[in-house]
Amino acid sequence: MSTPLFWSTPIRYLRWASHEKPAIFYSLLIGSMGPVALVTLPPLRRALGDVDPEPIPLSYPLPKGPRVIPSGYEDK
Amino acid sequence: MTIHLLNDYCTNGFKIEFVDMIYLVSIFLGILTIVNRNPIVSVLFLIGLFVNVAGLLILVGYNFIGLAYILVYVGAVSILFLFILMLINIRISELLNETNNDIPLAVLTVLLFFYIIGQVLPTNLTDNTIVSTLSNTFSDERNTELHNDFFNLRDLKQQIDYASSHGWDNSLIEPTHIASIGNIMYTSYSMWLIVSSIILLLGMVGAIVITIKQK
Amino acid sequence: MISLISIIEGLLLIVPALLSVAFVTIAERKTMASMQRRLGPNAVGYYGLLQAFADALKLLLKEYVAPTQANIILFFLGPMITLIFSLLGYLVVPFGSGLFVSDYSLGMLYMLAVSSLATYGILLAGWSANSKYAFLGSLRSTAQLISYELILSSVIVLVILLTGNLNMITIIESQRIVDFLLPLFPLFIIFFIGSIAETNRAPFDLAEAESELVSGFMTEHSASIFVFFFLAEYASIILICVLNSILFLGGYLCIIPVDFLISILNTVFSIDNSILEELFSNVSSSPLNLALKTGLLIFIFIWVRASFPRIRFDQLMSVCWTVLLPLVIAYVVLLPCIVYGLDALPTQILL
Repeated sequence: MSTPLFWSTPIRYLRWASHEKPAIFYSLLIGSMGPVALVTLPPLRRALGDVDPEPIPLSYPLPKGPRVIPSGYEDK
Repeated sequence: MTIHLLNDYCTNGFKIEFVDMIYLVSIFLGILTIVNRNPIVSVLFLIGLFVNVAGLLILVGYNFIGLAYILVYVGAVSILFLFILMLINIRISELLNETNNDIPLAVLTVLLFFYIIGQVLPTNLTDNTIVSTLSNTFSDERNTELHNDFFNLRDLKQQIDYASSHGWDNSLIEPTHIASIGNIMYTSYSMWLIVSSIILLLGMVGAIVITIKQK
Repeated sequence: MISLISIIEGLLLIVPALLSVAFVTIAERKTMASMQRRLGPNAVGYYGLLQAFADALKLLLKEYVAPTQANIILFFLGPMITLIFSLLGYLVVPFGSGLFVSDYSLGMLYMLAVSSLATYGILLAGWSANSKYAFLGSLRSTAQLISYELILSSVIVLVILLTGNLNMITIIESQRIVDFLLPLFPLFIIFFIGSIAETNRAPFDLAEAESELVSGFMTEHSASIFVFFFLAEYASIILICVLNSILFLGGYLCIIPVDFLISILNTVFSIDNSILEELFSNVSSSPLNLALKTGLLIFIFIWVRASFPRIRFDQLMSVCWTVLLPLVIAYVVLLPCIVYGLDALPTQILL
């Protein structure tokens, strides 16, 4: 049997690929670990006790107290 | 202030006349690029022109753009030019065509270019050049001013340039151009980044499609 | 006065660089000799230490021969370009904490740009000599340099992802906690292979394969212009070893955790603190650290040269494009994801 097909025998195909085309195979493996890491790492990080940083303020905060509108300086 | 200026001149090596010299050298190199018959020597002058322009960009303060110019144009594109020109066999006789027919076209192009650029560019960019100073010395109207006010004004302008761009506080916090460009490009103008990357991808796929062999 | 100081600064950088080139050549010959069970140069000076200077003197005094049909200007310009651009990279290297000529904010980019320009010298020298061997050698060398530069710059991009800055000193100082060797070990291997290929060294020295191309792009160059090529080759080897140790081994930072050792000595044996503190401050970021790391890497370069047979040119190119490049691209996908997932992006104070 020559090159196995991916769809009929996936495990056997993967083993064949890791032996015959190791560079491409492991590149795809490492590369596909990226999105997986993107999903799994943040919960893991929070479980280990890391706290998310505060979001960066994108505007100036509004003052809590009542607004003081200055008066008495208007032009006549 | 003057002592500080002297230091700055010596260590930075920047003087506004250097920019003029680079302009002249790049025009010279551009002419040599066109005039030369040997294509490889011509590309070499083109590379000299690229390096010159990159030096100009670095000299006037665009460090990142200048280095990227060297990295992309000189380090990659021109090497491929040279590479391919050395590999293909060009007969010199094919290049000895008469090219005088194109002179009106060239003159027209240059005039149009200067007409458009001269309107768009702000005039104060060309105030301190050698050419304008020379033309001022030849004209009589400025001659009276030249000895007292005009020179002082020019020196003052230069000093203002130094004070604004090469001050000591810029050495403490200087947001590099690469940071500023990235900050804009990945936030406000991310659409254009995506569009240009898709164009690049199309170019790559097109090159592959052209060169692929059909079985 | 200030301009005089800047000239002296340049000399203080270039003269030791050239001296180190001289001693690296002897080190290579002696190391290779002992790996092949022979003595190596041992006549000039103690243990042949001054052999390089004798060689240089001989080469400088020889008559130079230029081929009649060669393009003479380019023939002499090529070696000079190679030497100048391989020495220009030393400008941004920080040798110790505070020991640098230029603290350039785009140091890494500058180094990449300058190293890509050194290719022109090889291309011009090979073309202008008007010899088929030299021309083929220079074409091979250029193709190799362009291909492997891609890998080197991709790996550098990944290192810069972790530092957040192109400045050399920032790259080194961000390795105070742990050297990038630990998180980026596979990339270090790839970078090291790439740097062996980038400097045209054995087993990737296809540009000057003696059995095929006589001496490659420098076949026609003799006497003093050959010295230029020779110096440029070894200067670029040292420079790329320095770059390796800056990017992955922590540059001038100390490998030994001196701080930790001193605190152990203090608590367990209750030894006086002041002398040890002095020692720590001297060792922790002295140029000797960088020298040791670079020396080790240069030794590995020589070791590799003595150990492995030369590979074929098509093998060289296919290793670059079909093995190393997919791996690097996979890491380019993986590493930003990990850094983002761990929320470990380097802080940009300015933004």
